Amino acid sequence: MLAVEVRDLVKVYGRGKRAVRALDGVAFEVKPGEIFGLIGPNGAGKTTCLRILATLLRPTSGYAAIYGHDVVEEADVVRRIISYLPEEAGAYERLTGREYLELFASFYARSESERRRMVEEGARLSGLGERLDDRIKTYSRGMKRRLALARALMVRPKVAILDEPTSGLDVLHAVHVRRTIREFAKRHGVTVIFSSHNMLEVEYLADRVAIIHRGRIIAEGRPKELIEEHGAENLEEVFVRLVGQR
Amino acid sequence: MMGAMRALIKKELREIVRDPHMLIGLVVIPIILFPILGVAISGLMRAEREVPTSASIAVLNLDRGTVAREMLSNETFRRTLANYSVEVEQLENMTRSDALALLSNTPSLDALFVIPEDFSERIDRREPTRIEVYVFISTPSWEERRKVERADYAFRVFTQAMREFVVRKFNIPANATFLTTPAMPDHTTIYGGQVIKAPATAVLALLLNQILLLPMMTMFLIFLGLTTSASSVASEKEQRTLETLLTVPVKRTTLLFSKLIAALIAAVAGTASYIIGFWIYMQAITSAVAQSPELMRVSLILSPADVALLAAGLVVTTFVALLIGALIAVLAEDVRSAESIVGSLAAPIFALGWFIPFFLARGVSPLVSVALGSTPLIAPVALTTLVVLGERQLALVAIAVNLAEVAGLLKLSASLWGTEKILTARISLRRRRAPE
Repeated sequence: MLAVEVRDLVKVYGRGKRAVRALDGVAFEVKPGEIFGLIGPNGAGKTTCLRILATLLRPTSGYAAIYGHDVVEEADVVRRIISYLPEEAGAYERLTGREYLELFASFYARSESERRRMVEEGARLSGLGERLDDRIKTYSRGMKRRLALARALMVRPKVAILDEPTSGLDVLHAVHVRRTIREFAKRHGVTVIFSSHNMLEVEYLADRVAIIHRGRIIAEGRPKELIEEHGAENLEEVFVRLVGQR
Repeated sequence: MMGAMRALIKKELREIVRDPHMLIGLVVIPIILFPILGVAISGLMRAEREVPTSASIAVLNLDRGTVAREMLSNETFRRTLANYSVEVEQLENMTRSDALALLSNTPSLDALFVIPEDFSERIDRREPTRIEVYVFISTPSWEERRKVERADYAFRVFTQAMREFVVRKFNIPANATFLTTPAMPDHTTIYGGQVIKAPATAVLALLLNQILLLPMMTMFLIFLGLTTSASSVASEKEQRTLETLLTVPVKRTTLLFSKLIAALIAAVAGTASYIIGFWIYMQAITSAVAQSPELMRVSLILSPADVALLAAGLVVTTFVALLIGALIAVLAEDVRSAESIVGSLAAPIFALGWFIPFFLARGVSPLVSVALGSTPLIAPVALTTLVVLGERQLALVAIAVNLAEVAGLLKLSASLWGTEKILTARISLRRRRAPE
């Protein structure tokens, strides 16, 4: 069974003359345990696509499913097996980091021991140490992002949907986040679908990538395959060639 | 499900308690607000005062001597009273308790004057006598206030006629000290089964103060609820936590209810604080005005059924306000926009809320009463006033209408939370930056 299946996905915002076609027939598949990168310029439709998979938006037409469950018809089931990290995800500033993790663990855990295990895992993944007991409003942007990522992964989702996981982070925090995603996904067999602007990050993290432009997938494959196919030195060059041509 | 709801409510309450603005709203404002409201209400009550020009009283003569009998049958004495439009009904062969029963069963009677047994002896000794003045208050209202003022007026006219009679009969020089105050009133007020040894004007002033302040307090409950629920939802948007929250395996209605319940708890806690402020204020004014310690125990008489009605009304109308707050927040872009929308509602709520108790206490048609008791955001003030005025049936009808409003608003809110509108709606009242 496919972890993620997307077919002819269309999303139109607004109506009439003001209508904007954010997705225009997007299709791709992600296998279980795979790390799949969605790359594209600003406004290409990456976030819209991830939001549809995360059950936040309804597609105008087309089909999207997580482990065979339709994201529209079976949204409740899908929410039980996914975890979503939005771009610029905030956190409750007046809670401590630990309280934040405890809150989200209580939505997924079926027992108190499972909840405790999730919080312990979250604490470890965040790498915040003693700072976890401080209020979130005292955290730096990077610390908040690490906490949010820990929240998304600690529940061991079948599919983690991560929108720009390292956006706006300094090098050290970005390295921590990338390493955490890769190690956690490989260790627990979690399927990850993420979006990014950073081609180095995509090359490091993704098993396969899809390049999305103006709401359409214009290339898809393993990073090495794409580089070879286009006679480029790296993924960034592939991206510039493909997007620049259009 | 319950675990998720409990966790969400706990999180909401933590956020509320850790917000310094809430502390100001819950602690500082009640302390300064009630003295201000009290002064304003007293001022309004003084401005509303009318000088009576007529009165109707009953007189029970218990004088062992003959002076009182002579006085009451004296033509000049009776003419003086008639000139000032004071009607007197003399009660014959009655005990004091029979006379009091008559007073409480005759709404047209403003007061009962009882001439004491030693009246003649005191007049003979040229000593001021005491006349017992009984006033019955059925419900604390404007109409009763006029009755109390008429009773005062009747006593002034009665003592003036008495002074003229005594001067003529005993040929006392007009400047004698005794004549300045020939009779002192011995006040007794009967209200809600209580016999209070204090002037009816003071008793009624205290009761009206409570009647007006109690409904006004509900405005703060409503405003706290409205603000808390609007901020609670809007802050999820502003902090960018809403997207995450909407993808967790918890029903959207559970998310909505958790926020509403937490806002309700905060609103009730805030109101408790206002009640404490109100109680401190009432203690201060009763001890300041009370010449008689009797006044210290004057309070609204609410039966357990009234209290239940009041509680049911407050819960339902507060829930309406919470749902309106949550709806505003769903449509607003951020906390400031939500607060601006809520803030723009504050002036009409407070202005209307201020006048509704006066308006209802003066007596309006049942339809208007129910309409006011069913209008969202001002309904709690009207409902509380109706309950303390004893209009239970009208209050019940208004509560039923409010319940229908809750059902409608819940349906609307649930449908909004179930769609992407909750993420895409963007009413912003913030000034946008000009493009660089």
